[in-house]
Amino acid sequence: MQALSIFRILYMKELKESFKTPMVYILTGLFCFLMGGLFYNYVVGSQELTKGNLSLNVLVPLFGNMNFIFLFLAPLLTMRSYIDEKKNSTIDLLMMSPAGDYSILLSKFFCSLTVAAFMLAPTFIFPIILSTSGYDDWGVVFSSYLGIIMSVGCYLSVGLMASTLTNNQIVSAISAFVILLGFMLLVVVGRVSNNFLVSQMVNYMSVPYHYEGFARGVIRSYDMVFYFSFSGIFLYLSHKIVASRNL
Amino acid sequence: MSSVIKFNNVSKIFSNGQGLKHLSFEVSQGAIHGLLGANGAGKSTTMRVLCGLLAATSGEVTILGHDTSTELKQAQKAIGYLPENPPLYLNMTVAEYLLFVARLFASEKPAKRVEWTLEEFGLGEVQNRLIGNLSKGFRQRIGLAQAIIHDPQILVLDEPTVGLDPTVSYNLKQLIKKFQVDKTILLSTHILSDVEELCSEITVIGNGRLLESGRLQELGKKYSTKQIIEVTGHFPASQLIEQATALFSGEAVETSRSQETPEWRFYAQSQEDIRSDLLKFLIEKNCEVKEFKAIEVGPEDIFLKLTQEN
Repeated sequence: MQALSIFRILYMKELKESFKTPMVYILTGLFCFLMGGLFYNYVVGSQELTKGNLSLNVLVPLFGNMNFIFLFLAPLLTMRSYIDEKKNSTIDLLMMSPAGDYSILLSKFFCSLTVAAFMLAPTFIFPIILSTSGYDDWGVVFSSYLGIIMSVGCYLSVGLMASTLTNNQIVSAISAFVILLGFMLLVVVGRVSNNFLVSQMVNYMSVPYHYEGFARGVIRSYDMVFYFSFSGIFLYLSHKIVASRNL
Repeated sequence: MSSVIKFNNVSKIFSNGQGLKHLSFEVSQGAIHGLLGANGAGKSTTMRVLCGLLAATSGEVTILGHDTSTELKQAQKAIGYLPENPPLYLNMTVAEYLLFVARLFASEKPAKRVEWTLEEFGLGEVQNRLIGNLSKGFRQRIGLAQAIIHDPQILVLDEPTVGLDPTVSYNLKQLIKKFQVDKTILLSTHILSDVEELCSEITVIGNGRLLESGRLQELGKKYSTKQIIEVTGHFPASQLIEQATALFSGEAVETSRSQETPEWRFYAQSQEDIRSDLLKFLIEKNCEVKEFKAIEVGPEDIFLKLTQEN
């Protein structure tokens, strides 16, 4: 019970800190501007405004691009997480408090996830606009958002780990981006590999590969297990890195 | 007096081979204990090991009977820690920050604690200002306030007065003295006059090793090889000065500006207690004594002697 209350205190602190900085608003504005442009492009490019067409030609590529753009944005959202705490010695304050390492880590993770959800929220206007033309496949919309949130969770866990590794924000963002790009490119390796087993294994390791099902409106436990374990492993590594600083 | 902090043969070795080596000392309950050492001697490492922010490579650290290797959270609960750089969220207001700390440390009635702290530390006028916009003096006071807000039994202060102007430094020292009533305080500092003013016990470390630890008074006696007495007054004739110098193996310095009333400062040095003999001599010779005091060996002498030896 106490752990939950401490988590809530830390989460609220993180949230207040995040929304006090202009970074969130700048990134949200930039993200919405890009998404708006892409949405306009896909709608204009779509020849017929039928339900299947809108899903295939507008929403699937739009959500796919959202997912891709978050690959760049997530490291920017997490790059300050531990670095600022180390720079201001506030990590000592948190470590001395009754809060455990995991409460500190999870509060940062869920705060970043909330900020990502805040950035995603304005994009809900796109399916609403399409619904005025008769689009009503809300299952695909729901699963796509769920897929994006799950993918973003993976990106943020990598970003958090990168911020525990260094004392420089730029190095943190770049190293997180490089790791994520590596996981993304695995899907390409999987496609070109002639060996079925290697191809399946490499595909399974790739984050975008697991998003494909969500984009089609299919929620599989297979993908969910991957997302949870991917985020879990990187959060565990972050915890281990933070703990090793005390040794 | 019982010990609240015990360092028993503690070593903390970093990858470069530096660190603490077999450090043992104790801090008595209710004392202000000064931790002295040159730059890089290991003062901050000692404090971080004590607070459980660094794990000791070997040895045992006990705080109020709790071993930090097995009961870290219970031990940490008893400590309020002010690191060298106060741990502050610069984009929070003072009141917001203190409330966050009070709630995080599960203080009872956090709002009341914040109110008390704001008043006690004179932070009321800046409570709604962003910490990032405040001066170093205010930040240091907020740092001390966060260390004390959950009412810990032990305060660990890493160079609390360094870089502060004399007024802020004086106010901070007054606050530290005030909290000594019901708390044990361990403070590290380079300012030896602060140690003399505040501390009843000291531990001197050098290159991560213990050089000396104990009560300041006892160490003063231990390190004083001879008694020094300072007398200021009017010594009627220069022959008298010569006589006194010869009798008490002393040294005389003229401090007067006027020729008519020559004023002298006379230092007598001896391994015996010569106070009564010297005073008798001065009275017999009709000297007008303005000041007569035995100079005690202070932390500065002890520190310099120990660090020079090592």
